[in-house]
Amino acid sequence: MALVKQRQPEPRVVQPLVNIHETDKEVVLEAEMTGLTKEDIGLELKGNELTIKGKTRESDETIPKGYTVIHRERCPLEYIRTFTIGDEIDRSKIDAQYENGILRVKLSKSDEAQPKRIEIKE
Amino acid sequence: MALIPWRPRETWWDPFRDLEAIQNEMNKMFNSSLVRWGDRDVGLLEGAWSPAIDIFDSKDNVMVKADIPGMKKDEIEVSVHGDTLIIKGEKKQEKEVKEKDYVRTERFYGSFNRAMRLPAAVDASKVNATYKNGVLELVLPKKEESKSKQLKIDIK
Repeated sequence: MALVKQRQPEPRVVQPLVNIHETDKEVVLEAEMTGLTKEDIGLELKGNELTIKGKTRESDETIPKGYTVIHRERCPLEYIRTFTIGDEIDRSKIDAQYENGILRVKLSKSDEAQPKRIEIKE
Repeated sequence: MALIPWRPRETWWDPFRDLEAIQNEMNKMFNSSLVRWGDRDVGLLEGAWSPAIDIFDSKDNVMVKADIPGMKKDEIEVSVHGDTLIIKGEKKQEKEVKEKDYVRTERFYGSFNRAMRLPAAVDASKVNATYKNGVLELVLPKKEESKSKQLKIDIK
């Protein structure tokens, strides 16, 4: 049996924590992906499956130059999570933004999916 | 009666050992994929959370990194009391979103307060703090007197 390593050199694969809110016009997904840069994040749409992923950089997991470790809790992470999106989402209008460790994906609903008010005739 | 040569316990054939090994591996798999690193788990108080931190030491500086995603710069408060560093703040939920519109809420909100002992006394007036991509990075220069703590002792 393999020895239990104290610190894993490979990034731990975790699902980012998300908040999702939905209105008539859009679905907004906010995922906590701390310590990445825009370039480290991948967003992929395949059929109905939207996948978000990202990996913390090598430089984040190594010790800063000239320093020794006193205490460590943060560890290299690999974020990955897949969501299934509905037909009402307009595939061409997906917008993503990364700020302060949060990836915000805005999924707009297509015009056909907008609720329509139907007039009632007398 | 012939004596049975003694062997350490590990070399005996134990039919349950392999099963135990499988069980251990399974437990490890669950631990690594479902449980997050460090003290990320929710405490007794609902929504309680505390950022994960790293502390590094060099000859002249102490460096502290903390994972605090989704905050604004001015919502984080950093203070130094002697050799104790305190990071606190309150993570607020976005106000413009109505409660009923949330389909899923997994992220933690609320106030946090984390105090840590630094390896040396630092000069609070010269602390360099940056907040980028959800990571707070502090470079705290050591005080002159704490740098020269190492005394040279002559051996007679």
